Amino acid sequence: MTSLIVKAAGRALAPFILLSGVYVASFGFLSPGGGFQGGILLASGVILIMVTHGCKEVHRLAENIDWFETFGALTFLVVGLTGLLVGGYLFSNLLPDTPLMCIVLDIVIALKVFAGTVAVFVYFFGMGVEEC
Amino acid sequence: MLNGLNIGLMTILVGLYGMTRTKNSIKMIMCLGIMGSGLILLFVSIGYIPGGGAPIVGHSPEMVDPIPHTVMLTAIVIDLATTALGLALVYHLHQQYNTLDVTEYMGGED
Amino acid sequence: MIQLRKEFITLALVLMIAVLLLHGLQMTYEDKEISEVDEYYKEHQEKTGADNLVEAILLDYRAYDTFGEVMVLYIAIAGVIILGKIVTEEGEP
Repeated sequence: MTSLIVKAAGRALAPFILLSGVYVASFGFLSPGGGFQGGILLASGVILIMVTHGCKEVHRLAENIDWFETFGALTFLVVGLTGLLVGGYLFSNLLPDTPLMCIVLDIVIALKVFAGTVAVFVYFFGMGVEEC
Repeated sequence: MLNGLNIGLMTILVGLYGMTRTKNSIKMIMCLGIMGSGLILLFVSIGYIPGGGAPIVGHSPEMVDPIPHTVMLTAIVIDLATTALGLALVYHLHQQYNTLDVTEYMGGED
Repeated sequence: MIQLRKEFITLALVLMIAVLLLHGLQMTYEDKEISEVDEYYKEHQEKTGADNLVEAILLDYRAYDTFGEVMVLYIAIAGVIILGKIVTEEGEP
């Protein structure tokens, strides 16, 4: 469907977009950025592959995208409940003076936003075709 | 008086006017997005102080208020979620009734 | 004629809401000062370990709000996925 030039450009650009998404998400506590922005960057890398190569190349990711969403929500809940059991109140910081909690929650939110955006795109992209 | 507060207010009012006057459901969702953008501009402008830099420690001596930024980061994601859900519902309604006019869904005149 | 009246009523409603919003935002035009909550966040920033104050507020001081927002996103995406499954199971209507 798409031409060779578009396919080659998408294949060359996607790894760098994914890498910059991982960087923005995991260094959000030091520099501008954060979980939401990193998640959107990760999703844009996968969506670029989907647009240029079709859904078949990433069909295993597209079929199991809801597990990422559930994993993110459950990890967020587990972090909060651990704070409640150990620290005394919900989402209490167990290790003060270290950015561990910010890093973990940033990566979890990045996974969740990535999964949500890709799920919405799969829904709207696969409306006309039989299987996506 | 062209500052962020006034422009944000005007954008919210433009979205509100469009939302009350249109009958097309996709245009209604677009107006919801316009209202969200105006709200984001308004809140970020509320937190601005003259001469302030980015709210990062060690970046600048005086920094802007970071609380509206945090609230608006949440609002952007909620905007994304409501837009996606609304468009999915509009797609199903169009399959059912073959129209985008909201007055046709109820079967009444206006 | 009835179209013109509807336009008039809508414009009056929008103008009324504009006046109400301007009245409510009067305070923010006049004094631009950093609130006390913000001062507290800045002074105790070392406890969170995050240099970016937005992330410190989002993920440490007010993580409970972020949890609610994450749940809203989860429910909305679940609704979109369920609507997609209905289409694929029933086939063409």
